[in-house]
Amino acid sequence: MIQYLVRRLLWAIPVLLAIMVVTFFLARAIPGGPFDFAGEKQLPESIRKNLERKYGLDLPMYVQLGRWIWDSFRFDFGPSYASRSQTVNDILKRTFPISFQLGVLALLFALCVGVPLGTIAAVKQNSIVDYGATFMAILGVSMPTMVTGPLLMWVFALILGWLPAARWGTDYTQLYLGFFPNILSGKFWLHAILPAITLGLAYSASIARLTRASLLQVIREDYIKTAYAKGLPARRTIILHGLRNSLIPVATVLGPMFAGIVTGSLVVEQIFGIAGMGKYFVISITNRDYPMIMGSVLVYSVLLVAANMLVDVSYAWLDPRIRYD
Amino acid sequence: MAIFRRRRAETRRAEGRSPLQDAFRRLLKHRAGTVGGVFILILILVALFVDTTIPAAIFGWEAKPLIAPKHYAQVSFFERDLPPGTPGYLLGTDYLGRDILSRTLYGTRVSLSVAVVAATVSLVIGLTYGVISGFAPTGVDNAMMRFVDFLYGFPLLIFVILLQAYFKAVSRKGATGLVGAMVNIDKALGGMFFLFVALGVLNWIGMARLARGQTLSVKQKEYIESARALGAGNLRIVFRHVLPNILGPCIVAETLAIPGYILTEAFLSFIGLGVTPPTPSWGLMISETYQGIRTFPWEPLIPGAALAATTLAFNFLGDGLRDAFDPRLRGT
Repeated sequence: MIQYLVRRLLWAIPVLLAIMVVTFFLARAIPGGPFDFAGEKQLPESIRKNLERKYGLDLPMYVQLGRWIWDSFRFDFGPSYASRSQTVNDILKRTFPISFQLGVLALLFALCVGVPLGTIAAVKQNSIVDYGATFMAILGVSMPTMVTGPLLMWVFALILGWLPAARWGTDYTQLYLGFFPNILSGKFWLHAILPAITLGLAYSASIARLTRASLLQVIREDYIKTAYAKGLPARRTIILHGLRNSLIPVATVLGPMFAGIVTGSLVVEQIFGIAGMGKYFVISITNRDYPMIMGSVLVYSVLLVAANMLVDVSYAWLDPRIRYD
Repeated sequence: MAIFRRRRAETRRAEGRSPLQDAFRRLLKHRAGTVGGVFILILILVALFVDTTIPAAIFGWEAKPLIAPKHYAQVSFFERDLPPGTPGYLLGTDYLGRDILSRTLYGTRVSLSVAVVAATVSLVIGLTYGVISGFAPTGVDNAMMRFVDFLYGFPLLIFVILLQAYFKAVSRKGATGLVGAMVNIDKALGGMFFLFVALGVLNWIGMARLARGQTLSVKQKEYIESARALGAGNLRIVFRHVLPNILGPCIVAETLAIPGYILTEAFLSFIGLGVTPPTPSWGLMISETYQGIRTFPWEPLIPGAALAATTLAFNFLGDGLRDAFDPRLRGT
């Protein structure tokens, strides 16, 4: 197991390096530079040259690339060209925890709704409950965040006025250790409900579909019959013996799903006016803010690689038959 | 016993029908799948005849709105933000006084072309890659699959965002040569061409994996062995025996992937990296209007409903096709 983990970690290094190289050149290939304009006005050639020299943009490409990779491994993502009073690290420190909280809450919502819904649908197969759950699931899969977001906001925040319409409930200055929100604060939860549900809804639906499908297969296995024959109550059999195995396909999609949640948060952050990473990422592209673009992509990639690894490890826990060698 | 009798009757009836006809029959029995399919057919008709582009291109006329009441970019400054039901504007107008019904109807063009082109591109690239990998010697196969694994670790959508930013900037700046030609095509298509490229780049990986797996399992079947014994070459085996047998699952997987393409296009247009305004994409329409939802809720909700209905229809059709091609999976 440890050997496997080490191997996966080693495999992640070339992947991350390749991502860095591709990002670097893709960002540079976009026509236009970060210092072409100051507001609406075009900057004079000499000033632009000086600025580029200051940030090392006049050096050969390979030197810049090498420097950036070296600095990134020391967690120094460089200055932000667009907002010159802060570094990329400052911005990420402020925005990443908020995006991360949003993503984790959405994922939790997806799991907490999806798995029970799928289980109930599978246990009561072909009943009205099943049809209802299946229909809700397929409807949920078909509704993108840019539809559910405005819709939920309109109904629950604007018409009913139950929940706040925008903003995240906690400021980065109020985070414990700069990362964890105060989960006892009602404000945090009130603000989190709509964005997290918006982001998690589609995923909860697909988790429900997957859980139902795979549980239906597992329930027909011999060892479930054995468990029943031993006299185990149905609830215990399904949850302890059936559900655990049927979660393997669910775990498989959690990796890509996590990536989807990361990018999905771009839309949700925009709709609900949350100052997360996604907003800055999109802005940084239009500004040609190279360090910010590359820093965000790197953070996203590390998250994705880590999520895929976690998923692979979770297989072993879910299904003891799976061995890594 | 009754069950056995019915089974036998079914087998008897099944004689003289191709697997494809069988699948089609089963699809027609799948109620949701049929509804989805019919809805998509209607959408295709709308997309084709929303204006007279097609006959206009053939006969050299000027294109006029046909199904849509107005042209999608027709601005009317004194009729902004009208609610649905206003005379002349069935579904109201947006912040520039453009007819929302017309824009939503025109929006089918973007979504459906993305669906068709992205699905075709991903199917063609993925199938080719997967079948070659499945037939290649072990070393080559391993290398090809390592490459796929490698790409799988990439945050591809993020790269598509960067790629789109690149394309957009290039087409704003203008270019010559091959890129220039691409820019011109893209302009003619309202910014859709680069979307096709970006989506194609993004989405062949899953298909390649599926096609390789299917090829490997089909390769071991007896009929391949007998074809080989009869002296058939690799090419003949691939085209006559392997492709027809793996196409079913691949098409099903592709259909189930189409909602993803439509949503990706909407997503890119939403963050301003999709089609070029004023081309009406549903994602763009939502992004232009969601901030005014308190006062003008219909402006983002109508294109949103169209988007949701279309993805729903494709999901239904995909489910129906899957059940039809592989009845063992029914109800999963």
